Amino acid sequence: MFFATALAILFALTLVVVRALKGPTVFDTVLAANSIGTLSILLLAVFGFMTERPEFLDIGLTYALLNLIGTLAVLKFFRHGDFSYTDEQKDAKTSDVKSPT
Amino acid sequence: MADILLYISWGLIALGSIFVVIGAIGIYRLPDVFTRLHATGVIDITGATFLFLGMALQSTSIIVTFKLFALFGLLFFTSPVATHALAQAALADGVKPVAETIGETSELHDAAMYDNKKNETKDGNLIDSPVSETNQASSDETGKP
Repeated sequence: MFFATALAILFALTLVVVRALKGPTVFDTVLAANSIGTLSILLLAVFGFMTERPEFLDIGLTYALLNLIGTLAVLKFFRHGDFSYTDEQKDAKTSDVKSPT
Repeated sequence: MADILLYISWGLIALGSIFVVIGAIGIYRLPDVFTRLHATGVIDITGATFLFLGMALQSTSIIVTFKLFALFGLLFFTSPVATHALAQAALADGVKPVAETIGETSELHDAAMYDNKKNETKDGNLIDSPVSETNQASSDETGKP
């Protein structure tokens, strides 16, 4: 029964990876990456219960934190073009960012 | 008693995996970034809730239950933050939401289109709905004594 759940989560992962490769905007890819992170946490928990080793839950807990920070960091990078920005750049749109030439 | 708890736990795990598959199909098939954000929320909140609840009923020690609840709490509170940040970034970048309906048009859609196109009668009076135009026409016919 845990094996059926793991297969369902793997099927969901396949669909989300297809969306990550196919998505027209870049935000589709970021959204799919966030979902891949959450689905891999679920898969880790199910796998831990399948093999009767509760250590996988610690790995899942760590990756849940990293997933959130990674998503927010990537979004901040797309908005400003840089990880550090001044106060005038804080409200700028992405189209206002000058590309390095 | 232990059997009932086992069956309830399997049922909850099955429900959780069904919601995960529904959310993934939604991410694949929905038309816009903003609608796909809702599918992400379905996976994160309902899928994870039922899966973790079902697994917590089957856990062997109390430390495993505590870790499962900690994981659930983390996912439950950080998923809306990520969704909101994504939606705000997409709007700031200029992604336009999909406005038209897909498939057959509904009656509400037809009524809205009717309101936009025929706002005035020949006298210049404003009408509110398609029904009032027929009422005005019939009242003009039966008006004079």
